[in-house]
Amino acid sequence: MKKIIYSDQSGKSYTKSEFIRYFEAKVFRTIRKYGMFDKGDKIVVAMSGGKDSVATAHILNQIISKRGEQLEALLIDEGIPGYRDITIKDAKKFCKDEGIKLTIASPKKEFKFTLTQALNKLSKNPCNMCGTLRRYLLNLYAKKLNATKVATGHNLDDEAQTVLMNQYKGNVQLSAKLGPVTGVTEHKKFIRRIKPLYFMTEKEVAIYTTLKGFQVIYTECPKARDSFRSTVRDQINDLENNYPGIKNGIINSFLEMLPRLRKELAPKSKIRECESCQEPAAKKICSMCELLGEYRQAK
Amino acid sequence: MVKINVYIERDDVTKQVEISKKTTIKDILIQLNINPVTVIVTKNDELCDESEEINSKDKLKIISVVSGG
Repeated sequence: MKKIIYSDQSGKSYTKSEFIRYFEAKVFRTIRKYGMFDKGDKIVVAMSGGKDSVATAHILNQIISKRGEQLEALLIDEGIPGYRDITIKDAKKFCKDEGIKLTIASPKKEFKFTLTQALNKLSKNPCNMCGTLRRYLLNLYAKKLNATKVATGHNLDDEAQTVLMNQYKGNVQLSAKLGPVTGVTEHKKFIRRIKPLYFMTEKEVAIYTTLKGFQVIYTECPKARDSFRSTVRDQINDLENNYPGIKNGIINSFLEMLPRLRKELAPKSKIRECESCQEPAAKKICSMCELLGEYRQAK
Repeated sequence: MVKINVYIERDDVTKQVEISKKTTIKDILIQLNINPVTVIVTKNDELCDESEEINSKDKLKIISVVSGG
């Protein structure tokens, strides 16, 4: 008898090998449909050592070994004790096993403080501060590595949450920056981001990494447990349980609106260069330099 | 009715759950008030679908799939 390991929201059942085929084929389709690769690309995977980045790197490694593009991994160690140190170990093991070069960057090396130290000094939302640090260092180091694209492990759940968070907070202009390939406008200093797992649910990614036997921890960042995102995530998961297909519904309707959203908001979303560090910025001074200024002034 | 131990990895706790002949993993998740969308479940260390039935000798582990920030 066939051992079923997963049934999707439409009721379709999968054995282990059927699930792996389904998962990989869907990610390959996403990559092709959205033209995520160009000939000669050097892709840098934003690696955390968690299930999403590990699944992304593994699948890209399979494709790239056949096509001849280059693949490396970049990990931002923001400094969250008891969490990031575990995922770094997993990332190192994974990259070694897969033969992927791993670079580790950190605010400690770059700015002489960790996220935890900054949080102790400044009363700011940890997820916002972490996002600022990570986005900045990711782009900065991707350029140092001569990357042409940065691949992130964002999945369907992440994107559905962000779409709704932007709606709830009235920040619809931020949603114009979302999508399987990000970037409303192009800028020579901003490396375009691709999201190969865009149509895979968080649960599907966890099943894939478990079936593949990757050593990853399935745990939430301790700083994020009470965040707005976690509230929205719980709401969406409750809805999905009662009305299967909700997550796909959010993303499919969002993707229908996205071209109009980008057209409408592109002129307002021009990327400029920060007057202090010359990195890409939405304002005169980028969020990272603002944060640095606040940190240095705080007692 | 018999009771089995279910290990919930996220909270690092083991809970006892009553099962009958046709109890499925989904029934157990409902008893424990856990949303099936947010977890994967292993039975005797093997991943399995929530429709699967269990017996008194099975070892169940519930793993939360929620991660990141």
